[in-house]
Amino acid sequence: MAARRCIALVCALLGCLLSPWLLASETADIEAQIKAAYLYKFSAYVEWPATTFAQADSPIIIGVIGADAVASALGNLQQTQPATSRALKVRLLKADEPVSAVQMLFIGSKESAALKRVQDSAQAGHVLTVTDQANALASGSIINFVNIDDHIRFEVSVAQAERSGLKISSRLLNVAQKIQVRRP
Amino acid sequence: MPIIRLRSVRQKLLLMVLVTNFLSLLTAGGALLYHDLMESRAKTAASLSALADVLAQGSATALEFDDPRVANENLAQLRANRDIVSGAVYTAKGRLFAKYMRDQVPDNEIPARPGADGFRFAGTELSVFRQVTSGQEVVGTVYLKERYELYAWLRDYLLILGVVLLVSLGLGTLISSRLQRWVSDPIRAVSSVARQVMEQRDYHLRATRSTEDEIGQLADAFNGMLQTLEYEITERSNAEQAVRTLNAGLEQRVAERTADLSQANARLSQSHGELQRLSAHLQRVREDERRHIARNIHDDLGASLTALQLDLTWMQKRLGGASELQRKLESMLETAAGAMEAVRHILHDLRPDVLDHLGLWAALEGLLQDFRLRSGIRCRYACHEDAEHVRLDTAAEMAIYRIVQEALTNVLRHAAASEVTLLAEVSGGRLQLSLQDNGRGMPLGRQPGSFGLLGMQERARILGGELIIDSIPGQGTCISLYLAVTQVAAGASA
Repeated sequence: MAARRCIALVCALLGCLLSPWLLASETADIEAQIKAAYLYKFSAYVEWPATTFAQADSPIIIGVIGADAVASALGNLQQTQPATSRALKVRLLKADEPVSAVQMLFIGSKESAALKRVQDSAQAGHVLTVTDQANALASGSIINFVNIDDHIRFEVSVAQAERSGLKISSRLLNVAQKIQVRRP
Repeated sequence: MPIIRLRSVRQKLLLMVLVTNFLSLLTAGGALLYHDLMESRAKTAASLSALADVLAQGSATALEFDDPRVANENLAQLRANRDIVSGAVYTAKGRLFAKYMRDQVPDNEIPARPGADGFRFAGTELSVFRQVTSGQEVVGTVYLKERYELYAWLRDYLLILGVVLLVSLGLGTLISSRLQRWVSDPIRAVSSVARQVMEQRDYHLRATRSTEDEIGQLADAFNGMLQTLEYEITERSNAEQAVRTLNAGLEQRVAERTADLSQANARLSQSHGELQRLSAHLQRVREDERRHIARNIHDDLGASLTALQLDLTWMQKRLGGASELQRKLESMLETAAGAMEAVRHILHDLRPDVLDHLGLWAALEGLLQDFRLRSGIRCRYACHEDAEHVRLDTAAEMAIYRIVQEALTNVLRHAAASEVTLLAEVSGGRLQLSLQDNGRGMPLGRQPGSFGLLGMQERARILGGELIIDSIPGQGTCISLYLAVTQVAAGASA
């Protein structure tokens, strides 16, 4: 009994000492989960060209670059009910790997430079690019996460999506923070 | 029974049509009202549900991407619909996500947590909960509340229904008051003829048949009855006439017969009076005759017998002792005395001079004593003192004396009585004289050949009195003479 009480005391002390670091990592964890959920839901509001999928039940493959936490959160979401009729698959990509095999690509803020590199191949391969970097839409991203008042929001570039041959549902645009349309 | 008393078929028909009309309209109106109410509710609920669906669809992405601003904007669009009181969006976990309220609606109008899917009516409000789904996932709930003005709707509906009811009743009255003349006019025609017949007693009237239906048959039947009645009444008046004629003849005959009878009666009473006068005359003549005979006997036979007795007595004194002659004379004297006694009896019977000397009452008492001696029947004289003061004229006293004498003779002959009582009293100006015996009684009614009774009655009638015979078989007879006496007071004072 005395030993157990001792262990509990040590644990409590350890918790008190580690709590600021733990809190920060927890916030980052929740953010990753929300972003993963948003990514997951985006698939329901985006229409790919018919040639993108080999079969009617081919899965949607989400490529993740530079965001391991989001990738693992997506992996957890795979167990739940899919948002569309298609299954979702997650593939962790290296920064220099080709992106033509995926339908959705999330580039984490650490690897935002990768966008420039994959821009052309993604546009050709009808890949929905999602970034997490301020002013990323100008760089050619289709959807970009922004943080407003501690809430995760996103902005959409309809012009960029059209260039990639993708159709974004007006319902998604409805909740988007900012929409870039193609200039006439 | 109807509370309103309706006098004519017209009014009854009209009322019938109106009541039927009213009730069927009311039933139809009620059914319509129910149907429309249900339909209105269903419609309201359906439209609100549709609105909720639209809202749910619009709010799905807002919920998915946790954007209350968008949800609020969506809800704000409800302002276009004036009936929507409030609306809200809840998250899948039941947290209030966004809300909308029309002006002047307090905050607590919005439920803190979502309810089950579906709609419910509460008073004048309809509320609906609708789940928001994205794919197959439930992402939240939409809530809407609408003002449902049932009372206003009902009031308008009832107003229209009332107006329709009134108008259709009015139309019904107008039309049926025209149409029901088909029925009521022929009936009224028949009934007015019936009334005329009753009032004027004119059975020659006939109802006109204007239709071929039951009323026409009624008119025919009525006419047939009138015809029968007319015939019967004619027959009856004829019969009455005949009876009256017959009656008049009978009455005339009765009058004639009555006249005959009264004539005969007059003749009869005349002859009766004559008979009575004759009878009285005969009585008088008889009494006179008796008096005459008695005087002759008294004067001639009596005087002769007295002379003979005187002569015989003289001879007896002169004759001396010659015993044979003496005995002969004795015998002759006895015979003469016997003859003298017989003469006195005859004289008494013919003319009881005790009447002349002592009056009626002493004579009657003497008569009873004589009767007792002769018959051995016990006699009682019980005449009241008032009666003994009565004095009558000689003929009347003689008649009474003879009546009592005859009655006593009858008692001796027929009654086998052991006691007779003579009663007399005066009451109310009438003398009652009765002879009562205790014999075997006598059969009432007229006895054929009983001239004794007849004679008594005849004497009583001549006196102006009345003779009544009472008899109970086995208990004796009472013969009573009633006589009005005006001179009682005079006799009493004399």
